[in-house]
Amino acid sequence: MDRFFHTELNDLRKDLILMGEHTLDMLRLSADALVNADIALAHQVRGMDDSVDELEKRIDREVMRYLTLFGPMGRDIRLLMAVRDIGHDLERVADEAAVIARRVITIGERGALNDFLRVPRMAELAEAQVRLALDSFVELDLEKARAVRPADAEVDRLHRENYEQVFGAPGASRAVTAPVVELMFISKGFERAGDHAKNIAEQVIFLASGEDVRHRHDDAN
Amino acid sequence: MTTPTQAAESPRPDYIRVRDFSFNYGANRALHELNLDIPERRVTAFIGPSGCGKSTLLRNFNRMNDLVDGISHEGDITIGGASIYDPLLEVIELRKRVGMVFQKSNPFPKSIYENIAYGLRVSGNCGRSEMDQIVESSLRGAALWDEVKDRLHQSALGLSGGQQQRLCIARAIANRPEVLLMDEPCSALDPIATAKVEELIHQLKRDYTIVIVTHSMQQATRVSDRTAFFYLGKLIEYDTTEKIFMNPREKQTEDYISGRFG
Repeated sequence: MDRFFHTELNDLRKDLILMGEHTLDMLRLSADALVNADIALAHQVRGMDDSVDELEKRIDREVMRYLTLFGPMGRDIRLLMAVRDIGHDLERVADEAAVIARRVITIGERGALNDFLRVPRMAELAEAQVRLALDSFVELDLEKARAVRPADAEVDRLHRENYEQVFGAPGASRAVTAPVVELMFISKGFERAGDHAKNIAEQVIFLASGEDVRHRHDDAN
Repeated sequence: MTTPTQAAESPRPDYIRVRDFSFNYGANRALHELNLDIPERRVTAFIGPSGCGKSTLLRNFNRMNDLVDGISHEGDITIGGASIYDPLLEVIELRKRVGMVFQKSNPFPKSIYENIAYGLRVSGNCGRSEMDQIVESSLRGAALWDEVKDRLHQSALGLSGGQQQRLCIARAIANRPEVLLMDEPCSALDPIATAKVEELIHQLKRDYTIVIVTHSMQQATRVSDRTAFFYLGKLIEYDTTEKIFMNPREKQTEDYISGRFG
């Protein structure tokens, strides 16, 4: 028998999904702003961060309220813990998108870029990773959750290649312009977004199976 | 976001008002100058250690304490705007308006049907078909109808503890009261029967102002909208249940709800 308060868990799930959609919009639009040198869009992305922050705070409040009032156990407490942690990771992804947008504005102020290196591809992959992680939560799909980590390795590899292309081999000295330095920070931002997608997927694995796969360095998950 | 069940509920007007109310058993002062307002069609929980006065206050709302020798009070309690100590008030009428459910279910040793019909018959003015209707609506209101509709004329003592308690709730609501007082209604029930009674309380608050005394803080958090914490006959803190259990104002409340009391 579902109790009257169980409907609140569905409300929380819906809030998290809404937060995920906002975050994905920010990530995609920040990449669009970069490749189109669209400063107005970059400002718009920065403005979107507040609504994600508010959703994070609301989810935290509701999780604490539910824990206090309804004594959750078993899958309910796993869901509450997962929702809270996933909310924090989504907020960090949104922060990365907002910082990327700020760097797009800086690039616009300091001159144009004609080579975006592997960053547009990284943006696509990072967005797809966050989408996959979010879908795995919505569908409680272990297979999708386990597919996020291998995808993250690809984004990491592209970021390393960008770094080597710009700064060369260790010890090498080379002049790098300010916009390219900004681009390297943006590359790092998308790489970090992928890391957060991996964290989200790990929470889904815990939620679905009770298995804690964080900080594992094998390919077991 | 769909707003949570409790948080979504807008404040309701006060229905029970306790003003400067003190109560004595002989020379022993059990309640000290209490002031609190209980909202209409909400669940208000009274919590606190044994002897704190929560049941004494509850039993004053329908003047059950009148049956005890040597009692006296100061101050006033109004229900629906009228003082319960008005000399012109009939106590029997008050108890129809303010129903009560006790810790231990106490069905009459009669049929399920008669448990509800008996009180109505005593108060008169109820024909057979109307009686059938009230019995059915009361049992439905107490979420018991589906379980007993085929054995209405069998003894109520054959019901389980949880069913007996819901029968007592059906009996209380048959009089169409304005207020339902519940004195530890689940303390003798197993977790499944408790869950059913709690679900029922959640349904009943649409129509009734409910005050529940409970030793289970988990029950107070699950079912109530507001919580009052009593200690040594004093009202220490009274606020929304969320505030009392998440971030109470008083250290004594915090110590009690977090198990650090005494």
